[in-house]
Amino acid sequence: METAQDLEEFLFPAFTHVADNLPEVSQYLDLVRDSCTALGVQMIPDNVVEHGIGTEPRHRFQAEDDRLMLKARLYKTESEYDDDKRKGKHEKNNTKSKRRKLDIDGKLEAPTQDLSLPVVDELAERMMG
Amino acid sequence: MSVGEMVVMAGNHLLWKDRNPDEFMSWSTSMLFVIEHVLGRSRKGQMGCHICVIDSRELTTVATSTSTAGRPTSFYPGLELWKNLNIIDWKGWGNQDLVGLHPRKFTHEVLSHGVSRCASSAFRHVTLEKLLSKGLFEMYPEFVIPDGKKSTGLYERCVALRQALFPREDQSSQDLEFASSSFVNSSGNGDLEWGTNVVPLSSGANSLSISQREMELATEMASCFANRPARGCAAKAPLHIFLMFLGLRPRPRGEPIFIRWISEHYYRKSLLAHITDFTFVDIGDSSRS
Repeated sequence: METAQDLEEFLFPAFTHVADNLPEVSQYLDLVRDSCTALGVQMIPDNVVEHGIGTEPRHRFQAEDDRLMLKARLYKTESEYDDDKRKGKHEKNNTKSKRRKLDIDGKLEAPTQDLSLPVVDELAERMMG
Repeated sequence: MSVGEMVVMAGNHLLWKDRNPDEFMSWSTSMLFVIEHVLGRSRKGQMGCHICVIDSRELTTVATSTSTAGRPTSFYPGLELWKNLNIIDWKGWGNQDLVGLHPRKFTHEVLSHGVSRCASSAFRHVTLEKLLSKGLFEMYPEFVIPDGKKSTGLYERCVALRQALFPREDQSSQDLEFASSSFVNSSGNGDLEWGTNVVPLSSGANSLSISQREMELATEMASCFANRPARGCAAKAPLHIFLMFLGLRPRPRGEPIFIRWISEHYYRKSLLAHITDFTFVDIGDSSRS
């Protein structure tokens, strides 16, 4: 550990990384910052706002919520509820038949690489590192 | 276990499929999500719903066929798991599964793998009834569903709650519908009654303020998560949980009333103890563990 940045990373590992569709987490971190001021504690870093994962436009967070759920409802009427329930059952059945077909065609084979303990550890290091 | 089996297990866990071979347990960084999830379960009649907060640094593994004992439990951000295991590329997902596996749905989710042991000092939990009796709906009436209406799905509810609680400039206030009714707790026996006359503490969804009453309510709710105090002492509301309850609306930066409250009620060590790592809130029930 040689620089202030190293210390910061050690003290706050990804602490202030926040997705852009989680305003409550951003707000929580701002209240933590005000608490740092109130108690004279070293200020935490600015937020690193994540807008998506990977390069695919469809894998954005807030932008996709805006596109697909701009009119998100807090509640619905009884008749809307019954309609959605019927639609949900229909889609569930479609998913089941698709999986059954892939199974018959032999397309659902799992890769044979063994996920023993060292592999789990390597996965953990890769993700945490 | 093969990587393929892990992909299917993790994917099904993220889809809430409640499969038997599921070695993951989910946690959340979002108090909004956790509250809505536990309310949803309660509305469906599930008994004994509670919220559990842990100090993730204090969990250790136990000996099983896939892990050794006594090591710190690893927590994997849901997105990192999604990305590193290429979960979305498995051919067996149906169209509805692919909708459910969109990465924006896991931005708050963190998963632990395997069985963990938690010291009692690092494990705090409280029932939903207790939180309601301490004024959850008084502070956030947006969570209430009026009589005669039905809840939308969990993700839609969370998005709608964020739109109602954190309106953006590009959203017209007419687009935001939220409950004007609110909650009254009847005589502490756990029965819930729904009233329609209680005025929200903030003057509207767009208000940007912190009132003394809100800080008192957030303290009351956070106190439920406090470790058992010494005899004769009042339970001290953990600072990070107090901030999570207060942070479900936009708040002004540097509000004098808030700064004063913090400096009068907390010590530096209360803050330092928590900002060196993140604390996660349980979003699963036993069937997802």
